[in-house]
Parts: sequence; C-alpha cells; structure tokens
Amino acid sequence: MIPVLVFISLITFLLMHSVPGGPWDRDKQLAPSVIENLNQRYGLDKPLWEQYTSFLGNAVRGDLGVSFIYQDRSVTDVIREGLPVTATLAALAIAVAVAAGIPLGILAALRQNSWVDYVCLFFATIGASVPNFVLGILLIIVLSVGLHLLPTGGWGEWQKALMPALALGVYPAAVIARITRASMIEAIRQDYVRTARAKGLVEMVILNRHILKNALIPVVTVLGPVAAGLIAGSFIIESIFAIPGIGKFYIQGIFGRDYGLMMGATLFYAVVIAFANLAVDILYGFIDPRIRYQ
Amino acid sequence: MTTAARTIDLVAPPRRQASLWGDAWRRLIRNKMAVVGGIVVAVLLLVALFAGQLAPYDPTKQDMMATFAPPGAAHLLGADQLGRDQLSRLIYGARVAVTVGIFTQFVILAIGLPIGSIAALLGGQVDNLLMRLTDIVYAFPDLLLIILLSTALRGNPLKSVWGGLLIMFFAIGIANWVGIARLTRGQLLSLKEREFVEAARALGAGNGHIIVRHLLPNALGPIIVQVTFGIPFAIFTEATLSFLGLGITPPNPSWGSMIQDGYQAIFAYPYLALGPALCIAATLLAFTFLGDGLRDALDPRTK
Repeated sequence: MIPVLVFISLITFLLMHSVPGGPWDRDKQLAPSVIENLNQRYGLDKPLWEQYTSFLGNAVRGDLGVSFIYQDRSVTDVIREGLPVTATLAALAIAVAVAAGIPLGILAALRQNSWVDYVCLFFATIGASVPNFVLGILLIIVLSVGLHLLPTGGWGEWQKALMPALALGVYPAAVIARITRASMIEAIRQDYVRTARAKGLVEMVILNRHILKNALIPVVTVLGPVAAGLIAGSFIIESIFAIPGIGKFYIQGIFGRDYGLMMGATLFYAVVIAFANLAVDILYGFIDPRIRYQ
Repeated sequence: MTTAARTIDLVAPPRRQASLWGDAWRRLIRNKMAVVGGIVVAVLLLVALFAGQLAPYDPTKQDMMATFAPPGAAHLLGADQLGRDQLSRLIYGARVAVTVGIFTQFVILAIGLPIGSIAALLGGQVDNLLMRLTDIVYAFPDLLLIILLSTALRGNPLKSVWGGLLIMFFAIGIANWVGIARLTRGQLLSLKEREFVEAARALGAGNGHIIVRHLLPNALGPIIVQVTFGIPFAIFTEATLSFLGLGITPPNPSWGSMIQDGYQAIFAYPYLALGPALCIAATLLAFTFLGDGLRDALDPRTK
C-alpha cells in the first residue's frame, strides 16, 4: 500500500507541474519581482525533486503543505473543514444504497424470472447507467423547479441533503441490488437450504438464518469499490448542489492551479480508498470464517 | 438453448454450418432489451455521422436576437443563453459523444492489449513488473487521474485539435487501459493451457500461428464485451468533465457543458438542461442494454 501511495503522489506531482500556468496567474498580471518572492516563499523556486521530497517528508508527518488560493490556510485545514461534510454526504448515500439496494435484490431473487424480478432489474440497470450529475439535474428539475419541494443547493438543513444523497446513492444502490440478487439466487439453491426446508423450518427462518446470512457476504466485497465510486461522485454532486465539501475545494484547486491543494487532496483520496479496501478485506475475513488471511 | 436451435434447423432451409459468431448473433437478436439498445445506438451513430445534414443551424453560431428563444418554429427546442440553436447543439453533441466513446477505446486497446499480451506470453519478471504497473494505475482514483491528465495535456499543441477532443481520448484512455490489460492477460493465460492449443502445438504449429489463429479469436469475445461497456464509460466521463468545465473547449457543443449552461438558468428555462440530460441518460442506457446482451450472447455460460 505504501509504495502505491508514493507512486500516486509522484505521478500527481509530475502531472500537476506539467499543467500550463501557475498558481500566480491573475487577470491583472503580478510584477515579476512579486512572483519571484512568492515562489521563494512557497519553495517553488527549488528544483522539482527537492520540492517533491520535502512534500513527501512533510506528508508522512501529516502536514500536506499550504494552499495557494486560500493563502492563510494549510491544506490539512481545508481538508479538515470539508471532511465532515463530504463524510456525512457519503454516509447518507451509503444509507440510501443499502436501504434500497438490499431489499430490491432480495425481492428480485425470491421472485426470480417473474415480472417483479424484471422490474427490479430494469431499475437497477437504469440506476447503474445514468450518471449521478444527470440524475441530480433531473431531481432539481422535478423537485425544485417543478414542484417547489426542495432547495436546489446549500448545506446545513436536512432538506438540503435529500437530493444530493439520493443522486449519489442510486448508483451504489443499483450495484448492491444486482450483487444481492445474484448471491441470493445462488444461496437459495444450496443443499443446506434444502435440508432446512426438509426438516420443516418456517420459510421466514430459512430466509433469515440460512439464505440471507450467506447471501449478504459478497455484498460486503463491493462496499470498497462503492466507497471509491462515492468519492469520485461526491466531486460533481458537491459542485451541483453547492455543498462545501472536499470535492468542491478540489475543483477550485484545479482551476486555481493550487498545487498544494491538488496534491494534498489527491493523496488524501487515495489513502481513503486504500483504507476502504483494506477495511473490506478485514471485514470479509471476519464475517466469513471460511476465509482466513495469512 | 441448443434444443431450440436444433428445432429451428429442422424447419428452416439448410444454412451454413453454425459458427460462434452466427450463434451469438441469433442469441443477441432474441434479447429484446439488447435489440432496443442496439437500435438506439444505431440511431445515435447515424445522427453523429450526418450531423451536418440533420442540424438546422450551425451549433456554434450565436444570434443575440434569439437569446433564450422559446421552443417554436424557428428553434424547435429553443435557443440557449447565446442564442444558439439547442437542437443543432444536441445533434452535434451526439457527434462529440460518439467520437469520444469510440476513439477512446482505440487508445485503451492500443495500450491495454500489448501490455496484457506481453505479460501473459512472456511471464516471469516482465509479467510481475507490468502487473505492478497496472496495480498502481488501478489504485489511482479514476476521475482524479483523468482530471489531472486532461489539465496537464492542455500544455501541449494538441489541445486545440478538434476542440479538445484529442485530449479527451488520451486523458480517458490513459486512465482506463487497466481493465483490458488484465482481461487480455487472464484470457491468454487460461487459453494457453487448453487442450486445443496443446493439440495445435503437437501438430507442429508455431507460436505466431497459435497466437493469431487460436489465442486471439478465443479471447476476442470478452474483449468486445469490455469495449462495449467502455464506450458508455468514456461518454459519461467526457460529459462529466465538460460539465465541470474541464472537457471539450467551448463553444463546441458537448452534452455535459450544455447541462452546465442549462443549469445556470434552470428555474427560468428548465428544458435547456433537460434535453442534454435525457440524451446522455438514453445513450448510456442503450449501450448498457446492448453490452449486457452481447455478454450473454457471446458467453452463454454466464446466463
């Protein structure tokens, strides 16, 4: 994991510095002496490898450097401010995904090849293929513009979080529904289910104890990729709904050539995704005793 | 499955011997959703190809007298904030979407196929090295890498080629070849050990013959499916980037940037954002249905 993160930071660093323009581009051009001073102050006059190694050294100690557009703040500060917002949004989206995806998948599997199944699959396909920002726009058009039910953007009240959570949660909901259905169908056909039925257990008990317990294990594996997808999605959703999360800062950082913010936020995202995958691996071994990691 | 096909054989006039592709085609056209998806994709391709003939206006031509003109005889779907004809922009937007969708796949295949094949066929240290490389690219958050690449690529002279389209091909392609590389490697590794390859080798076939006649044709099915799913992903990514202002250079029409334009005036003119949003949704759905159908048709075992 560590070498991968180092490589990611190196690639980001090189790409970032090959972006045309610099953090001091303004509509009204700054005097060359001012730019020189700024470069000196932020260490941008040093050779690239020196800038990189000093960044890496500081990053290990939890210091991601300074932001160039929010001049008086460090990147760690900016991330610390955006993190609770982004994390709340992601948690709400996962809640939507699990609450909608698992029941849909179970329902589809129990009525396999009936119209119920086809309707569930159809919605899952729509959810998996319509991009979240398109969904966000459609929600705004229907719920805000058409019915005047919800505000179009902002953060802080529960009404403002509904549409973003829904727009962000539909894709993972669709993924979870598909996996749940597939693994349910497999679990239903197992011998132990036939045995349970043969000894006369009530259907409800068979479903809860024997089928669901086993069928939901694979669902856990997709939570890692789902978390990664949520992070990418939160970028756009935060931009659409004017939510002050990390994604919005990141986009501003790109437009402002804010090397510090771009670098810090990319690394932060990479770490989060790496940990999400690690957590899923550990969780997986924990809930399924058949799998043990050496 | 096979019984049904045989019954048809008995009543139908004798036809050519059943081939892999012929069977796959028959399975595909029996799948209603895949056929609907295929038709939508075909229409989209035609619109993209004949955009010049179909569009009533030049999609970039501004007409200040027609600013926010409502849908009507002059502008069927209205005009945007600069008086540009919305229908013409949607039609040319289809061309941008299709071009990005298809040409990005060439970039992906050009990187992924050789890397996957070399890893599988040479094995050992080379395989190890290439697989570590794919791990790193895979661990990089997709959209972040694409955003970084697309902003970084703007530094070179390619940026103005086709309104930034070339940059889209490379940014999306360079970030997404890992899937094809892994798939190719996995396919070749498993095919290499199969009996028919051993038989060919026993009959004295050379490496080149085995790769071209036995390995590649058998690996082709899954690769085609992967590419079919890659097209909507590229279209989706381009729209996302253009929506954020990091994609196609204005004033060239992209569905993504049109949604952004429409979003700015969403309360007064919601239909301006609705049109491109529905176009993107329909396109991506159609490709997904077609891709699902192709996957089931080419590999009936997964059904």
